[in-house]
Amino acid sequence: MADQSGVLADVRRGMIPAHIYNDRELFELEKQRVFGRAWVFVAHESEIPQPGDYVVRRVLQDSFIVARDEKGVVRAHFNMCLHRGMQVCRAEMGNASHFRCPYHGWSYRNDGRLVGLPFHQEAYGGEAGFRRKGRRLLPAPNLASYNGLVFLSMDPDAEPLEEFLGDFRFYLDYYTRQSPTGIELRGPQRWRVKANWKIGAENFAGDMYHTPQTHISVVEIGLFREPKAQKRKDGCTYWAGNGGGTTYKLPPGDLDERFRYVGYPQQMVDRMKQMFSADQLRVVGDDGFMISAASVYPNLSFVHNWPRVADSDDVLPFISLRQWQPISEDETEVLSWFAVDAEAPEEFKALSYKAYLMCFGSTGMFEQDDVENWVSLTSTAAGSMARRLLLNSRMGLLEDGAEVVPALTCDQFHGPGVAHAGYGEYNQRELLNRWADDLERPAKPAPTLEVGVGEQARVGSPA
Amino acid sequence: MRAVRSPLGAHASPLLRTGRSLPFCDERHQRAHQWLVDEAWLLDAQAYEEWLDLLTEDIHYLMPVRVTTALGAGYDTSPGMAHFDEDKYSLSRRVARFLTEHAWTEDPPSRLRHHLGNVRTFATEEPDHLVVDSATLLYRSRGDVREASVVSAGREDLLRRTPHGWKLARRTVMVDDAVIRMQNLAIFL
Amino acid sequence: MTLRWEGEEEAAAEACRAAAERGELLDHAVGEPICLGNEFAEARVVRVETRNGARLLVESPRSGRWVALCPLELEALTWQNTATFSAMVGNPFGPLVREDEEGP
Repeated sequence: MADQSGVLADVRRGMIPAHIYNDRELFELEKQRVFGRAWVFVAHESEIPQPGDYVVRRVLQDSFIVARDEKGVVRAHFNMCLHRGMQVCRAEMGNASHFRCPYHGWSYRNDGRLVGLPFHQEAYGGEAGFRRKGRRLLPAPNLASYNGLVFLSMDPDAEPLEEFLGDFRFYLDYYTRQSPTGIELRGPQRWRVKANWKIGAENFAGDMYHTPQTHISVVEIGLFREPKAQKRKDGCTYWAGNGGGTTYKLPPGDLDERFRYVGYPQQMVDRMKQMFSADQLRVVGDDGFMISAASVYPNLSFVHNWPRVADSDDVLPFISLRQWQPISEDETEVLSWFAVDAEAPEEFKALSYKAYLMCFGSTGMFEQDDVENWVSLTSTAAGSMARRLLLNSRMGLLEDGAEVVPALTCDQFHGPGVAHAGYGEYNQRELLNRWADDLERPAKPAPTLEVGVGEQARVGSPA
Repeated sequence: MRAVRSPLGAHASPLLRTGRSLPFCDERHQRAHQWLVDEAWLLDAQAYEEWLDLLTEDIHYLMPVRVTTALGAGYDTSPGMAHFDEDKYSLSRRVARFLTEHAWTEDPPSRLRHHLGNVRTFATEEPDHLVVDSATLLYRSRGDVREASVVSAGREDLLRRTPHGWKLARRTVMVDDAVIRMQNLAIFL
Repeated sequence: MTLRWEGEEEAAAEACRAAAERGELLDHAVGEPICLGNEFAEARVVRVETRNGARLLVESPRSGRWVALCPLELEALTWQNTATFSAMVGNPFGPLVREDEEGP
């Protein structure tokens, strides 16, 4: 494999070799070194609310059954029968207390335990030949959740999820903890785009600069009043922990007025005031910033916007979670969910869903123009000329590294991390710096498990 | 199959088909078929303002998200989620956007061909309403680098006779992909 | 001072959890329940839908106990003979196999 240290060094100074958005060798490295260790979102607990509910989700090519077992515990099992490797679940969702492999009929409880092999005694000589006791579908190497968001890591020694997310949790709460019950997720819509997965993650992390240009049409048709260039520039970007995002500056007003300005009914505002910390409330009420798009490294993004959903002046907010699931160096499967506070009034939920469909997702009017850009960028990045071009991703920095505008002070912005008002590429650089850090660090060999022959797992060499 | 419900479709006509499909020689079938063919040409040409005029004020335009579920599961659409779940207002915004000079995704425009087939028509309890089933295959070609993309779907339409001709009062598009193989749905089916 | 038997609080919490879970399932019951009775027992079954699938809720109105069976568990019933059910009936109000056992 080619030495990538030059590429990584360029990335670290904010000069992006254009081919990183369409490079097979780098993609092979990303599979091992990014997706082999990072915490990757797979599902939200509200997608599997009752015992036996499951969804099947992938991390790259690895399929996992994310299930709530009969005791209510959320689990992720590698979707491969221990016998001949058949997929145990071929439906993408369902409810089952037990899974039964269609090939030879091995069956598993939804907590993963192998409960039956047909003719265990006759064919294997019982426990003496095949130790069934203690066998289970391979669990995800690491599994954890935050606010009901279920993440898995392929690295058994991954740092705890809460440390991985770090201070980004402060911002994650705005999207996912507006009431004690939290959000419910619907979807995902799934579609494939011929674009590299990093582009979406970077865009949602901090690209306020594209909004007035790419999305001018949605302003022109009266759908959305905010993205005008002047207004967008008044917002700020922040980076904290392993994620960052963008905000809009709200008009003058107090906390309640500002939440209502984006369309939250007072009863939801009252709950948020109970749920959010003093600093979380200050960011909105005192500092006047409302969260909008965000990304958590490596490939989970969020969006919170407030369009008009009918022919009136009223706006209504919606939340979407989306994942940029890599298929190859030039193709991504987008999974886009609609999220809404589970305790919101039914009418709010219906209109918020409508707002989501109009703006984001497979048919969303914002998203349509984004994808066009990303597909075009990816195909242009494939050739040899792209290898001669270093894209400038240094917006916000002078040549000597000094910042064009100073970071907001803790009196101007009460959230953790570093925030800057106006346009900049601080967050895109943060995201790609983490990418460079991961690409530089070789992956550890993963243990292999021998099925049915005793307890030991041995450390093997990765393929 | 569990009926596809949408919280946004409550305003739409609930009329259902009655009896078997009408004979192809029935004038009602011929009228419905011609309506769909004319509509397909409008959609190919992206003549969306004219298309919008063919929709009733109470239109519900629904395209559920399909999911892979077991044969006996009783449902094959994602609970509470759709690609399109539209009323006249939201469709009119989509059309208005295409008419701006800044809808980049369709400028330059795609080359579109809506292939239509398997049309059959049913009477309803009201003489001014027909239910029409059809299959559609959209071929969409953009630029000169990427291969074209295709989306296949079945549709159930409710057509209504109005003083201004037959109009579409309800459409359910059952797309045949769980994962859409198209960069976005900046099109109509 | 209130006297409590050992495990009383845990049992009460468990009963509350089970009641809440049953209520949630019944919120999404589909169709009319079917009741069967003879001089020894009474049972009520109804189809309930979870978000992602369906189960059969089997209840004993007299004892208040219930179980929600998935299709594979129901099919497994068809593989049994009277002896299996005799063993179950002969061990009333408790499971035939404990949770920590792995079964036959």
